[in-house]
Amino acid sequence: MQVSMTVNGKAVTADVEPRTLLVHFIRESLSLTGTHVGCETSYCGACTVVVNGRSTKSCTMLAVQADGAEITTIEGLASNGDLHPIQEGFWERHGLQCGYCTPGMIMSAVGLLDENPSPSEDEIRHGLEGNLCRCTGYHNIVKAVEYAAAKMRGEEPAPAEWEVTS
Amino acid sequence: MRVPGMLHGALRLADHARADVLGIDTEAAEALEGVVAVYTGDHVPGQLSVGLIHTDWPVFIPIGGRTSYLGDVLAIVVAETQQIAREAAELIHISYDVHIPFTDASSALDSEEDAVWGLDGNVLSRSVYARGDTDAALADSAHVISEVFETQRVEHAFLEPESTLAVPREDGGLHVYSGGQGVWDDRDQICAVLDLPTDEVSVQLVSNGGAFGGKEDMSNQAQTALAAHLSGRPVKCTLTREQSMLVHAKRHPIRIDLSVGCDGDGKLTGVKARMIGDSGPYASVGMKVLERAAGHASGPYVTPTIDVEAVAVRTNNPVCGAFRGFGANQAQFAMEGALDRLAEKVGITGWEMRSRNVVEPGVIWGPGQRMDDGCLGARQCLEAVKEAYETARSEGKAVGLGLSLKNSGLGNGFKEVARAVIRFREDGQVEVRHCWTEMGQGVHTVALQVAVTELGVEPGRIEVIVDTSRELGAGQTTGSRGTLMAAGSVKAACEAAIADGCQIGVDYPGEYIIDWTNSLEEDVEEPILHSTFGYAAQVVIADPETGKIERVVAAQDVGKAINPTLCEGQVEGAVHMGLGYALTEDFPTDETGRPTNMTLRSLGIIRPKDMPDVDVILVEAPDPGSPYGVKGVGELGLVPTAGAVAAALHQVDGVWRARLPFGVHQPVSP
Repeated sequence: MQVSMTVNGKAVTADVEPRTLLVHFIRESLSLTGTHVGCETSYCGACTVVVNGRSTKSCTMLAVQADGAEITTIEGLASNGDLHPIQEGFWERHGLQCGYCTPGMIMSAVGLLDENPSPSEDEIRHGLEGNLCRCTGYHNIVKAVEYAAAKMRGEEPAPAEWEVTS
Repeated sequence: MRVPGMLHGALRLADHARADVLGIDTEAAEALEGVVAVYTGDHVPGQLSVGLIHTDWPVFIPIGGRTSYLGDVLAIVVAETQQIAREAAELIHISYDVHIPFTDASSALDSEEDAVWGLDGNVLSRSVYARGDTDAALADSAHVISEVFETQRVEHAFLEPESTLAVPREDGGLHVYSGGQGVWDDRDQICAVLDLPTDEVSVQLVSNGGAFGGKEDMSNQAQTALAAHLSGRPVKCTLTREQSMLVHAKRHPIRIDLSVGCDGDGKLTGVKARMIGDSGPYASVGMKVLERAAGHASGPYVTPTIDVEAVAVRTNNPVCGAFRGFGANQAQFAMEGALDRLAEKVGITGWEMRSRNVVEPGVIWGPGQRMDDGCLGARQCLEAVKEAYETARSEGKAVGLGLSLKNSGLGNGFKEVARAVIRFREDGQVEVRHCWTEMGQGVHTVALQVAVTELGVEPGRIEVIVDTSRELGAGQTTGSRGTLMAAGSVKAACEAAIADGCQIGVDYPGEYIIDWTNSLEEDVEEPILHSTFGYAAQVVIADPETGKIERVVAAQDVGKAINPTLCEGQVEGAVHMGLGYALTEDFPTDETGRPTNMTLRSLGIIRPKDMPDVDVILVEAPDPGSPYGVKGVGELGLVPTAGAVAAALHQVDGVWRARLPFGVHQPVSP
């Protein structure tokens, strides 16, 4: 079947088997391997991308279901070499260790901050409910999203804990 | 990763945990369009088995062989796409004669029948030591606790499943990209299976998406390398999540029969422990895990008498091996539990009980080691959490405290060697080669920091590389030794470079060797079991009504924080894992040896909304003998957690917990 969609601002058209998952289409057909496969059971969120403005686990939908959709993957977040504020937040607040969950976490945060530009810590934790991290304990991931939220509101992010304590 | 002409490999695993393999029919699989080849044990030119310590882990179970757990590999399919390869793997028809598996360690221990194909007896190892007359000391004690503690099997659940890419080289050799925890071990084992000299296989580390010990043993490296070698095409093989869970080694479930005594003031009089660990079929590093559990049985406390035996038993359950903490977790969950029960009998707090028994410089610890000034960190950690402990108690919270130690590296008489090479290039860049796997902990950053510090060059000029182009390797990135030994070896290499004027195009080697430890069996007075220990104290603060954990205060002695941000991240992540260990995580098997929690969802990993605040306090009590005073970081942060949670929940409902996991926020009515 032929599918057409816009991925990271570029129009793409391809022939896919009807059973192809969106995540496999993104990784294999488009060679955008920043979107990860973690659990294969729609639980871990490593495959999260933004589909028509909503954070979506790309292993939960078929490529053909995304026909006509506008999709953003982790590769499409930075513009002209400048990191997106959420990417910057993960960098600044050490929001990752092994990095495998990170693209999914960031793409979930995109949807979260789009719906709620000023989330509380609790709202961030609930907003990232569908994303699993085995390394960080989530602490710095929450801080990274808080950093990004402030930046995106045009405010100065609160200093890092280590900047306060040292 | 992908390369031109790449094929995809898919493993076919066993259908039964213990069954004779009568036939492997690959016809239907080979007939599937897109399938290039199917390889089985018959195709292995060299050794059929690999292993980090014992060479007992078959890379394939051949016809005429017998499966010994559900992670055994029967075949690898090579096909044009991953989907075709995986479909074809299911089409392989295997005929079996099924036997009843051993799924209980005690039964396996008592049985005359061998659980595992080709291996004699069901005792993998027995670690034993004693000091003084423990039975007499316990008989004379004012208070004695005797209880059986049971810990569960746990799955690592690193987010990235195992993946290997093997590429035939133009010179006829093979280049392998591995996400393993020790690329030189990978290379040597691949060479043994393919019957190739080590210069014909090069292995390059691909920084992996989490490991926690679960990527130490070979997973699919040998089979993937074989497929590339025989097909002459690059082959990539990524395990499915289910295969990942079945194949790699887990945390040992250990049954600990523990007796601990103290006098009327709470001073310990004796510790007696009998441990039985379910190690699964193949050795992996299971004997070392039980050895470490034995060594750490008394926790960071002084006891005049001790008597410990730890047995690793072969079964047909999942293989158990390395997992963050490496036996120290299980042993100290039990010891911390005993300490809290004794504190109640004496009538003092958990903090006071620990304060009265904690190791100090000069004392004899555990198996007989005289502790040096590095152990000042134990009391410092205890002091660091005192205020949080007392404040939370005064606020009426349910509060538990855990205090633990964990060695760095292997110790126990093993000679550990780490090497590094510094090379200044024509283009101004400086190559820093070291021998440890980056898996999220930041060892590359540590290597870079050391090089920047010693050489005085800009960080942007440093390129950190781990590959087998130099002979640097000495085993696995394990036992919290990465920072310690990378720092030592990179520092030495930098010093060699400086001494020679940092000439361009010259390899400047450096090494860090630990060769002064003693094994448990060695008959020496005051053996040095380990070169260095880290210490950690954690206060778990819970709601006194619901038992919901609100906050964890985690003090950890890292000797010297080379990178405080990375250290804090390690502790936060470890507490997350430790809370999962205490409350929710489990990987049980049924009577056929099949794990019953086979999705990431069912493992009980704590999610963002359920994770309490973690306050990290870094303590720096330098190790007198290590580079910069460094101690290990990675494992220790989850060692005290389960004991602290048990103590907090006891305050909620008065129930002493002895079996992990406890279940989340479900206080039991007394």
